[in-house]
Amino acid sequence: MRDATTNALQRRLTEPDLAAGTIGLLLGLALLPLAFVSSDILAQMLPVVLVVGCGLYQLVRFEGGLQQQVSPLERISGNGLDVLSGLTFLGIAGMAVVALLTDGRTVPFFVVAGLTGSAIFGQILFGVERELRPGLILAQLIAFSLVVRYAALLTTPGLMGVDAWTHVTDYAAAIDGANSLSAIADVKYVAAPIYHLVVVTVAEALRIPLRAALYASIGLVVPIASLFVYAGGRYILPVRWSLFAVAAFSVADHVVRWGLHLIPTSLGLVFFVGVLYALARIFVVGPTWRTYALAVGFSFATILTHQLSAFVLLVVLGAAAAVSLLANRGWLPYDVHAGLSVPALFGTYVVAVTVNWAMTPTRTGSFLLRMPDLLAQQIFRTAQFLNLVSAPATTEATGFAAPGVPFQIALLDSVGFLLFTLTAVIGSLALLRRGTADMITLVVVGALVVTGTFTLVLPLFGVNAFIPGRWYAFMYVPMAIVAAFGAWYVAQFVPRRVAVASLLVVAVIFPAGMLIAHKATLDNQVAGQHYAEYSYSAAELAAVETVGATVPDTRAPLVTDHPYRTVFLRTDAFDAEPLQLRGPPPSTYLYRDYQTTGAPTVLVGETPVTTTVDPGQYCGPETERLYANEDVLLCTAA
Amino acid sequence: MFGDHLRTTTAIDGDSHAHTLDVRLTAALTIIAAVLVAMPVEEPTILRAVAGLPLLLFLPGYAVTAALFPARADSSVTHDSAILHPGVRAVSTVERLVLSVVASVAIVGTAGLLANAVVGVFLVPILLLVVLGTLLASLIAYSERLNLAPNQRYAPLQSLRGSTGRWRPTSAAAWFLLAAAVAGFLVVGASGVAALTATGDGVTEFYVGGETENGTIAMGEHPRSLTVGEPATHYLVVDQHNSGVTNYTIVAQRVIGNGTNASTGEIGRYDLTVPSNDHAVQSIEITLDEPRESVQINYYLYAGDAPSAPDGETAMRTLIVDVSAAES
Repeated sequence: MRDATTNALQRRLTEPDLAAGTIGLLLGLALLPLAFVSSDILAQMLPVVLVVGCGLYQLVRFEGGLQQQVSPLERISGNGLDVLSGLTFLGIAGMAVVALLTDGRTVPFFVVAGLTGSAIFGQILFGVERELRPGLILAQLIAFSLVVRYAALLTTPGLMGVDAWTHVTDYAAAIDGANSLSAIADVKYVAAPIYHLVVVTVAEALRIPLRAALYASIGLVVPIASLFVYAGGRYILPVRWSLFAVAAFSVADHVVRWGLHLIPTSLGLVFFVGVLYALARIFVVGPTWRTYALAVGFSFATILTHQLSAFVLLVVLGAAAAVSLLANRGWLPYDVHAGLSVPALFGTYVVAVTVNWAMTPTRTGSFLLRMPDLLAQQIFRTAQFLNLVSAPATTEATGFAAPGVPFQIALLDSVGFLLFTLTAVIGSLALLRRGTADMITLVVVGALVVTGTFTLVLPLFGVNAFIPGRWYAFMYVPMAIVAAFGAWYVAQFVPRRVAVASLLVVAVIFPAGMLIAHKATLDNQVAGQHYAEYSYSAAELAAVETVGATVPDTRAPLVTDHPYRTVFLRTDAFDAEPLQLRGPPPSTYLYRDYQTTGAPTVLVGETPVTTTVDPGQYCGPETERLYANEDVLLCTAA
Repeated sequence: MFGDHLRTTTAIDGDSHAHTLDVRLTAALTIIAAVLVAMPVEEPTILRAVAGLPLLLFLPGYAVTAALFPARADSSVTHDSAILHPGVRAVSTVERLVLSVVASVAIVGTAGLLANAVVGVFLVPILLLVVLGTLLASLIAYSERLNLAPNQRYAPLQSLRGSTGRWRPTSAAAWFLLAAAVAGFLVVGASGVAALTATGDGVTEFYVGGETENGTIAMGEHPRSLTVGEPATHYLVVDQHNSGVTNYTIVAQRVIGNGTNASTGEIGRYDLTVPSNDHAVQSIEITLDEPRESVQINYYLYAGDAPSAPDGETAMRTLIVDVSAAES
């Protein structure tokens, strides 16, 4: 008995997957009390996910001894797959019709989209291996992804998000007008202008407005680039699980987000996935100049598109290079060897990114010199354990859920992400097992660990200087591959009934859960009382234009909610300040119906708060009403 | 070694046309599309899109991918359950597709960057660079492909032509799939067209202001401090983002005092015709007969005729301004 216990302990310490699982389990248990000190849903639930994932893995590993299931789980034969594929196409058509009839992505749209997404996952998870037609499933997935995004893009007036207004109506328009990048000479994007140049070129070539050019170019490329996850996944995974990875990535909330809020981050993500694909090819096919050219080309394209994407890539390539060097030195508990191709790629990248950042202007010198200073200031100013910063305006930066949201709503909003994380935890442990692990899988786990650290761990300590909210979509690339391993592990080694039930839960809940998450629904929040919409009605945008054109600049800044005020600022229409609930009434106030029906953010003292505002509060009979349209009133103190 | 060369040369003679059809087509389409896009004539947007989108989002990347990976993926190692290993010079069809699209974007962006450095961000130089890059890549792809043994070459158009294993519906379920896919494609396409051409419900804006020195209307700059007996002009603007001419009625109402002591009097009714997607301005003269510290002027906007007792409940839009009057 004592010998058995000793053996189990020894095994736990010497087997890397078991050792990592034990550390994960202990870490999860240690973090469980976070639920008592933080109201953030991720701070509350991620430790639970870590404990469940690590515990489940260890349990199966010990109980089953990794005995593979004798009979496969798949049950849907060729005819069944054809019917399900047909239903998926009809579902996609239904989504388009519902979006058109209900004028946007409303709840009925998400019901149809959830069911259609489940049909795609159902085919992938339960289709008979030899009957799976990857081309057909990928066609469904791309069609589905395009309809999910374009249903929002084509039914929403103007642009979505905050930064898109600056990039399109300011930077791209300036380049288009001046026919030169000198129009943005004092902006950091002068050294990373690919996004703007593509939009301007398409607009000029097709003679269409910049917004239409954006949707016809970047809007189309972002969902198609998801195929890189499948292409790269195929160097690591069999067809079924590569399909699972690309499906998980395509419907993931932050990936959908960057397909709606089309800014340089979106294109940066596209090139980033391209580099990871090339990296997989380098490890599996070999470091030929052809693949190396792809990796270098996409790396440079990332640098020339977006500074933050370039930084994420720097971190990921650094992790890949470190794993390679550790493997070469024999310091990893695996019999793997990587050569020097990836460290060389990393070195090339460091030189290129250094040169580019040295030429990137900021207000106080080059980006290269300014960035470390900014980061140090940010880190020392905000760093503190559990300093999640309770301001809604900072949810963009942290990526954590907005505070004040009821637990059930926040849980519903995060269920897709939590399921994704659970599967990825199991997958990363399965990947660390001797016999499964090779260089590329270790690099994928390494990439997930470093991106996960920047996305989820550093914000726990108040370090938001790296804008962790922007890292999620990048983290999802290795996470999708690792989660596919997790799903494979469940299908292969977990007792049959449990496995079927688990994968059914994934197929039914995951796509719908991700699609309704607030980051994926900038245009029309499902929980509209709790999460802000970053899209505007035609009336709201008409007010921006008219106020900007007809109100004299000498007037005091107008006051309105966040994010509406950002449109005034980003389009340079008029100076706008956030509504302050405490203090004297504003002299010029812009009310919109969304302030009563939605989730606007206003200031209470210094604190941003999501609350509704009654029209009579600052637009009552004692004020002058100078402007009115369907949704907007402009009132001034009489 | 010489034998290899001889074999390659023979292969060029025999199969080069069929095996490089896609590359030559890419080069030809690139030139045609570039000419169509660069022509200084007003073509329909759809024609420009049909020519311009492949030119900017597919063809350059396809040529570069063909140059880098001239070989076809060996189908024997791409078994469903196996890990992909297509070979050093080959990529799978999915890889080729996504590489074509993403590389095209990178190439167009880089062409824009180069054009900016030389002449500026103008369409023609960018197109010229894209075309030159695509033709160069096509040339390399042509040469690379012919340097391979015929059975190793990636030749998609020949594969399509000679394919015998094309999928054909053989069961009711397969027919259902085909019908659903076609129907889905048509419905999504029609919905997209409908969304693109939708005019929406339109917006009607109503605001008050004063005339500026250059004759435009500045919102909120209407006269507020009046002289007794002297008229002051308020300008009311109706801006409609609707197609079709619309007749509106503006009712101006004066309210003196407040609460139950308020006395209301109508200043006048003004008919205003607003052209399609345009605006119209109505000037209204306000005259106060005695000194007042505060008089509220309500402007009600109605589509068509106004009721006999206009108010904020029935009006389409309501504006409220406050004026005062003093002796001169």
